Amino acid sequence: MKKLKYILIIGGFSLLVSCDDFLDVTPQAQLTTDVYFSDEESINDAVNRVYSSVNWRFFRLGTMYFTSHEFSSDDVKMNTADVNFTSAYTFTNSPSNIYIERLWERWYQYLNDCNQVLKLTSKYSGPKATQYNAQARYFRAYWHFDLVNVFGDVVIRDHVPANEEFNIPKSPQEDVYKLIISDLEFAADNLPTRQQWGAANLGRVTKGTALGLLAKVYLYRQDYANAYKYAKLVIQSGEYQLDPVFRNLFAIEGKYSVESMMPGHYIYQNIAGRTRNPYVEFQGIPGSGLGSAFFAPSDELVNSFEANDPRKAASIFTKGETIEGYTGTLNWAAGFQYANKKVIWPTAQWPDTDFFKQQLNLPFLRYADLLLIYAEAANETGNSTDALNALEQVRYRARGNKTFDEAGVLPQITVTDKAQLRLLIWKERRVELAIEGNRWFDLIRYEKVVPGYTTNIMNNLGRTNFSYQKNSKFPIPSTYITNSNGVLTQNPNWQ
Amino acid sequence: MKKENENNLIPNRLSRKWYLAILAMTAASTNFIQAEGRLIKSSFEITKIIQQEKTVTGKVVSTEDNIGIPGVNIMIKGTTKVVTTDLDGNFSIKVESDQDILVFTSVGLASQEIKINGRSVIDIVMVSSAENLEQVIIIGYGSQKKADLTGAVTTIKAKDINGIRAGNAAEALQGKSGLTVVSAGAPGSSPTVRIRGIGTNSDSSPLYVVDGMMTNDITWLNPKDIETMSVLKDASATAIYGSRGANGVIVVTTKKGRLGKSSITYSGNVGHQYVINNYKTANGSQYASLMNTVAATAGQPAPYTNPSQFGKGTDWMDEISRTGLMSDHQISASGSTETVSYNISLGYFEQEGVWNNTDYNRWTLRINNDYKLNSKIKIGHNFNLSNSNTGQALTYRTVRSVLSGSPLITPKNDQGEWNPMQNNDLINPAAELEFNKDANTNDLRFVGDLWGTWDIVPGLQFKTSFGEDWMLTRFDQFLPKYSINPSFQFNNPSSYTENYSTNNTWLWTNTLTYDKTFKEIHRVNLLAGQSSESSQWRGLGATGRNYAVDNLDYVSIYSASINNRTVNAFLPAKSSRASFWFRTNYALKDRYLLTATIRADGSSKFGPNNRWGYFPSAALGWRISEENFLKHLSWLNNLKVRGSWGMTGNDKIFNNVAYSLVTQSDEFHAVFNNQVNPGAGIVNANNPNVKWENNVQADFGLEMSALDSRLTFEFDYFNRKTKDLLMILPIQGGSVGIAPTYSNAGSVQNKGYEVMLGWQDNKNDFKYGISFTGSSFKNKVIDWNGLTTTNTTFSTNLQTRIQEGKPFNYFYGYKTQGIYRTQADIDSWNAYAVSKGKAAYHTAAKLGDMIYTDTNGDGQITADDQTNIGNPFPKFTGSIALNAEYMNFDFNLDFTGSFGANVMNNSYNDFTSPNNNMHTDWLDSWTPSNTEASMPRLAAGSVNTNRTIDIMVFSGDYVKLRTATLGYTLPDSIIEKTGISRLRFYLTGANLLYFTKYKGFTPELADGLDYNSFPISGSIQFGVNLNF
Repeated sequence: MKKLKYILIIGGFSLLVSCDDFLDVTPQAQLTTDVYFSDEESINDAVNRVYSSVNWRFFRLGTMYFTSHEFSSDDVKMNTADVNFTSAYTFTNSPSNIYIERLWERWYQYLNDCNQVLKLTSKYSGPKATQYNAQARYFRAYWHFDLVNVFGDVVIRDHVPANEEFNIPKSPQEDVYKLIISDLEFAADNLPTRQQWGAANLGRVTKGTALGLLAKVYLYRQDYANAYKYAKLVIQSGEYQLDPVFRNLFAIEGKYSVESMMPGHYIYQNIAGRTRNPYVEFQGIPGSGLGSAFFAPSDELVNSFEANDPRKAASIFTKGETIEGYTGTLNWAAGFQYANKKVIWPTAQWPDTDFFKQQLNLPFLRYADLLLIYAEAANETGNSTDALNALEQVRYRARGNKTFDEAGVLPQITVTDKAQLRLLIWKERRVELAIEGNRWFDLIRYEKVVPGYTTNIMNNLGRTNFSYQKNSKFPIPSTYITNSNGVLTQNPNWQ
Repeated sequence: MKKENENNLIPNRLSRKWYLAILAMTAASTNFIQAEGRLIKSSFEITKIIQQEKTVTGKVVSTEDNIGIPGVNIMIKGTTKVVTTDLDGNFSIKVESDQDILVFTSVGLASQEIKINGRSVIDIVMVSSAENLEQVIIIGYGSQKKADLTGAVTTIKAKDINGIRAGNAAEALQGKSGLTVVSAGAPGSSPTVRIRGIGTNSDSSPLYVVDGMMTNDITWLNPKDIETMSVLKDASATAIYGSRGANGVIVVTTKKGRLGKSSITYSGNVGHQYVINNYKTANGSQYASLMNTVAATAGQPAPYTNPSQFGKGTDWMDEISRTGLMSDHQISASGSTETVSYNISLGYFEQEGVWNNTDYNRWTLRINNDYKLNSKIKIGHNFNLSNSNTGQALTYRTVRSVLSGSPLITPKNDQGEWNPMQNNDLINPAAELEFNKDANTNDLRFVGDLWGTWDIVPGLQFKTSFGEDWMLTRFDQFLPKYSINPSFQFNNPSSYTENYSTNNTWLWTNTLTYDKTFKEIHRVNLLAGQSSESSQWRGLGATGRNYAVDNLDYVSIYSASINNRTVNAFLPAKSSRASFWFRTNYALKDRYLLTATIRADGSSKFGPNNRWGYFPSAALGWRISEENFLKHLSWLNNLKVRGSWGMTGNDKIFNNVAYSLVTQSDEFHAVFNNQVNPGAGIVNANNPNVKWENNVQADFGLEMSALDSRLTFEFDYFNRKTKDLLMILPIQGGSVGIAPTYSNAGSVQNKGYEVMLGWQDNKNDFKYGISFTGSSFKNKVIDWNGLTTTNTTFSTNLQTRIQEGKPFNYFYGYKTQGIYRTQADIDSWNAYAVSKGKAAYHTAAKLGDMIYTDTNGDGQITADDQTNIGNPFPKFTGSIALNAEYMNFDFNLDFTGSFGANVMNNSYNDFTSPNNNMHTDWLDSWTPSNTEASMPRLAAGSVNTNRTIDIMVFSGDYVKLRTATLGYTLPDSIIEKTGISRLRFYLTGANLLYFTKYKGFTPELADGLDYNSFPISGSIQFGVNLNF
């Protein structure tokens, strides 16, 4: 009897005493990191996630991108009452601007995706892992570079943070640039070229992309020797070329043009939820219902095209023009007569006959940009021959692959005076790369090269409250400042 | 276990004198009086001559445990003949007549008179009287005499639960000490129950333990099946439930078979419920003139030339509400033999909500049996099956449309088609309720356990119980094709959704209890226990579209064509828990009481780093009245002080917090050469260190009873502090790129007191009692990591905040101080702004607007001037209950009130569209010709509407007559020949009186937010209790 008692009690209690197994319940129907990324091959999916930052399936991207890259410039005319948009134009920015806040949030998410790849590959050392890392580090440089351009000093994320590293202070721009440059150098050393990747991998970043961005980074730092050096490497390699037809670059099929060094990845998929292309959505024809058209090209931009520049007709849609296949009436909002033609294509290309869904992409870096970087760097280092040569390549293509003598438009530039040539190169950049997210950041660096340059432009436009000191960078979103309990500090001019 | 001194009927803690006094009191109606320590017969009784003696035998058992009660006095009414029950509760008495009446009396138990009626065996069950120290209180994994209790426990008995009208027994807790209960208006929904305030930002409802099974609510339980509910409040009582005890525990015991005669009981009631308080919106002509005022203020021509022609117009509340019928029936059979006792019951409850097409019904079936296998082993089971149907739920848009709908629109046009409303924010609410009438949630749920006990040696008992909680939920909804407003109120094509889910929980509990008294002064009760539990939830459903006919007999997923079917997938869930616990109850000389508990809980919800939590508690009690220096105070029956301290936890968080999860999404695609390549990211942080919320509570209590226990008093002070609150902290600095997850941060304090004062007395045939309970607590956020969390309710202007030093989720908005009645008012405020170096005081404000208060004193109105404009917690809640019985009548009244809470009413200044209907207060709004108006200018987009401002915050004070019941039990003389042992009729009402100044339906609102509330209704019911 006594024995039975003990057997029963001990039995009852010990049956489930090995609780650890009993309590180990893995998440149901959800893949954990350990399971999903169990081998080197599967990390490819995390790399895909890094690329998805340029597939523009996140519907708010348009609000963030245009607010930070375009609206402060002199290329746009605003057509919205949304103060989160207009304050960027009127230089009345607030640290609580919701779109800038989302940009901060989102860009750090993209950095996290890059760092997650690097964390996942840390136990592998073969060529495959190196290639994953090179792509992740390219994008890590790209997003850090964008953050520096928008905000100045920012928080560096060079690894997946531990909990205690969540709240860290900003780093000086110099340190951010150091990371950007080392990432890009690693990427350039380890990425295949466009040709090596092969057709199946069109859309991936390449050795040329990394070198090209490196050139741009140095240009923005007024380090012209290095800008020249890296741009030249790209040119010499022959990895990229100008697209023979300027307007083709912006067409659906132009996505993988031999000129496009960092293509966008938007394609239309009829997936429940968001289907509009955020790149197209905010553009369009003011008042027509085609696109939200929160902004349109400014008169100044339109007027900056030289007489009969064929790129004007390819870039600017003017009131009175028609859209091939479009049978509706094109109404124009009062006071507007221009639209960005890079997003206006025949209706036959509109999925579901919906303008908003056009499968168009922004080329985030292209060879013409690289040539102009090369030209500018060459000019600044006293090499006007290389500068003029590169400039002429761009203008030659603009004329339809004709010389000035053949085309009769866009005279070949021969000015060798550094200051004059500089202004001509800048003018070329503006029309060649119109509304491709370059102009505002260019204006910011121009003021450093030619003091008063940008301030004068703004004053001439009547935007007299522009203060270079203050408005060249956006304020850091106040939510993050507040949440940091004093660790993250506001830009000095916005305090 | 009750064990009295064998040779003495009188419990040794009471003097014989007082024992007799109580006896005399309880026997007053039997015409005995007490004198000189002897019982004498009153003068008018005549001793009958013994003609033929007969022996009646039987057993007296207690209602709590069905165990025989020793020492019960049994007298033949009108004689001096007294016998007492033996140790097992058995008695034997010689009677002279078949018509004699036996009077059963015992200290602490309600006396009973039983007519012999020719029987020779009479078994009876005795019930505890109102206040009684021998009363056994159900606590966690056991029971304890009230006298020995060291924790704060409120007990609700079957009698109090049967009185309530709702389908959920938790309604009976309203007004009880330490509880804040907000009635549920919607049929089938659970009331909001909070014990001692709110200690968490996650679910703060208590744990329900029903016959050992742990659940989060008791909607599946028929209130009429409940024997007692014990509300465990302090840590000494709740710590035995460890990680699930932080919000308090309600231990529910269902009715078991009673030793004695088999009985069949029918209990039923029918009645109706109705809306007791309406939100007063403008009627037709008032609305028209309101719109004219709005137009005039905006400088536009009046839209209605003759407002009075519209008369009353459509009263949308009338259009969608009704008098709801309700009925509740239960039939049960119960009884016991030496070896088997049983209690089976079948119940049906049905309720129509006061809004059209909102219905609920529930069948319940219960079988509670136990079987004595031999002198040591007993087995049993408690099985409950319930099947309930809940109709559609109200949506915010529906309620908003009722309150903002134009009275100039009729529900249907002349052709019988539904009319659209006056703007796109609103939907036709009558149509909405009609089109959603085919929504139903069916729950089929089994909750039950099989148990066995083994009395190993005297005092040592092993108990094992295996329980199962299984539920199949089926949601189905058919929506016909319709279009009232082609963009905002339509369904095209017709659709039918059918979703199924199963929830399966098993719980195996093993306990070992040792109960022993040493040397007559040391009473020890030791408990050791262990349990394991596992839960799994799965769901799957489908939606079909485009049905040929709107006939529910035809509509199914099957009858939708294959291209019109979609799958509804749900994330499955699984979790498991393992627990060990130990408790010591020790009483020295019945005076010095000690309780100590410890529980260890392991849960799969928490990562390996912090998987186990340990929850200790300790309590001390001192029954001062047992000390020699107080024993001589004859008026004092009991005086006890007790104090407790302990820790409990809250584990109501999502599963998987500890794990790093991979997210896959369409948004994560990469596109190479126009081909989509799936991507996967790690976008959510995980926290392997996440652990339980830790609730530390101290309690000090005082219990007293006096004047023959007629007067009772109980007081508790508590200080409850929750630390390591499980919350998703925004990642500090935020420049991380990973969505944050739960971590343990923050702390909230609730401290307060509870008081209970009762009086119960009998005067001949008149028994009456009155009790008063009151509770008060103060809620304060102690630590919120220096952050403030602002919560806004989607598409409303309800805004609350969590911030250190303030009550949890206080209302956050602008204070106002009157209206800018003239330009001079604006000028003087602008002058004030200039004096502070600011250009203007409030640029958005215009003439006729509310003057916002410059709370930070910087000279202008900015977002920083928002402040605390209300507190959702009552300062005081309480109840006064009266009960009386006279002859065959019984009567009770229960008033409940709440004071000091604020309510924020979204409708009051909801003017998103400039043709919304408004509360009649706005009829007197400011216009250039009515500058002395009581309300500000009414204009969409003004600072007066759709902002969180103090004019939408109201006092939530109310007093209501929660229940009132009048019953009549037919006298035995009428029913004795029918075989009926008891027949009672009663009329009962709920919320018959409701006193409040609140301008909504009723201020009983969880969190104090009024935006899609279902009105609390009043009801009147007629009922019958019938026993065979």
